[in-house]
Amino acid sequence: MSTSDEPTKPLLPGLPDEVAITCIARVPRLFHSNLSLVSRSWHSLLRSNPFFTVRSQINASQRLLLLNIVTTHISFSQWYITDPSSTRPTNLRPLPPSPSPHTLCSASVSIGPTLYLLGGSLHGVAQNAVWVFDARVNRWSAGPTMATPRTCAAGAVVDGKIHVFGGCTKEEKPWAEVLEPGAGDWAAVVVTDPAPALEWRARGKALVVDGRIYSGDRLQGLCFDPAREVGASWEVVQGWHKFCAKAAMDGLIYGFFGRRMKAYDVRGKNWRVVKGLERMPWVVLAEVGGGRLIGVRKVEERWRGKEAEIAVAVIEVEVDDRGVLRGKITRWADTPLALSRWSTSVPDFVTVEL
Amino acid sequence: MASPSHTRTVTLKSCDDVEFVLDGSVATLSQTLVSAMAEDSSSSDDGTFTWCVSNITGEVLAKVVEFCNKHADISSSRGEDLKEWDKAFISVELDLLYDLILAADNLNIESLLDLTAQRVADEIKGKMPHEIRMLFNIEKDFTDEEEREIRREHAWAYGGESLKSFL
Repeated sequence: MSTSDEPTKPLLPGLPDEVAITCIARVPRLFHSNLSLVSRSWHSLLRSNPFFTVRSQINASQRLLLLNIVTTHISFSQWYITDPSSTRPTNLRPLPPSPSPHTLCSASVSIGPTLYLLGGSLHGVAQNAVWVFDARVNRWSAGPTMATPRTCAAGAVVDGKIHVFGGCTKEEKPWAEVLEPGAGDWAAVVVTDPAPALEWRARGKALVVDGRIYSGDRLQGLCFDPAREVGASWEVVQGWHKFCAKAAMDGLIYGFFGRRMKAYDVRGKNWRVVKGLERMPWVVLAEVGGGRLIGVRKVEERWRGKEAEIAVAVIEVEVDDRGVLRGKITRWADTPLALSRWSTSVPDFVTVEL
Repeated sequence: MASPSHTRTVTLKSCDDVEFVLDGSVATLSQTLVSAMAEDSSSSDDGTFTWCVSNITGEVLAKVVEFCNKHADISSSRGEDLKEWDKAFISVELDLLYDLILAADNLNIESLLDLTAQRVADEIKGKMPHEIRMLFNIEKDFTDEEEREIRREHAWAYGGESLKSFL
């Protein structure tokens, strides 16, 4: 659509555009599809960076959950988006297919409205490709390629920079890399003593607390501080590898030991029990801001035969007078997406800000 | 030099020469007035300061002053009561709402800008594109073909169908 030879029409006649933007930016994401059908100037506003910058400045940004669902027997990876704050039944909506839908075990991270998929395994071969999904324009594109091909690497964002490490053998250099989006290519990070395993692969998502990255393989948990000159010293986190579906919130890392929810206090380096959420086998736990976590689980409905559904719940955790953590489910959302019961999994997720 | 802390009263003058006298502490809600007072060296020693608001009428300025008085009054500025008050205050016609937004922008009163901009957003929320155009007097400058094209994009981008059934 060419608008270049016409003067741009005001967004809201009677108001300067700058002021109009602060009005329109307050409208929740749910309504944005209607907004971009109002006029050309609204359409281009809804796709522009300044619009999302204003939303973030006035605290109108929303955290949306992106879920990766893999159909195992055909190795097909598809991402879905859902709005956990919506009061309507949550609707899992597919993103456009990724340019490489058969790549599995990528590390995913997000910065603002953007999802990055780092490497992964394509037909058993480790990849160094990076795919970027921009939720503002709903489009995939290729990102800067990593120097080292990686499968099941740990990826995390600290201070706006994407850190990736592992997912390869110790001999492969660089073992760790860092990317500042929009400012060139990946840079090698010198790690004099990479993680103990010869071939270190991350289990679950890497988390960031107080600027330090927590990750782990199937044997032990590790903490890596990107602010150090050389990431030589690793701190081992006891019990980490038995701990599933982890999410960081307010200095604590929540997750499940079997069916019990616990929280790891990174400052006190101890584990605390979270009461009230026993016997809930979650597959995903994601922090979505405002002191809330989102839990995702696969519900098998035996009477329907070989189908399962994704169930999404909003979880709030409170600390009572005696310092006991207490979790409660404040809302269940219906998700109409039916999955094949045996051959699908939810291996990954991120939250994006829009 | 007059600083906000020891200016006792501020006189605001509208473009149609209506004057309003505000307490110095009330005027500090306006960042524009705060910086104007800080820069002003000519003000009299009796702690008064006069400021002409060139493009705001007396009618609008009266509302702005009402808002500032309410919000600066600490005893009444509490939670639910204030929210109710704000809600009643902002139940105005679109013309006056625009004037208030422009005044809040001009005087840089953050809380008033938040309130008024949110009211516009609430008007936009939940309306169909043609209703938004009608309400805000916006011209439709898409061709039908372009509109179809955008709707096609949206089938992916926002799940247009489910939204339509919801609205």
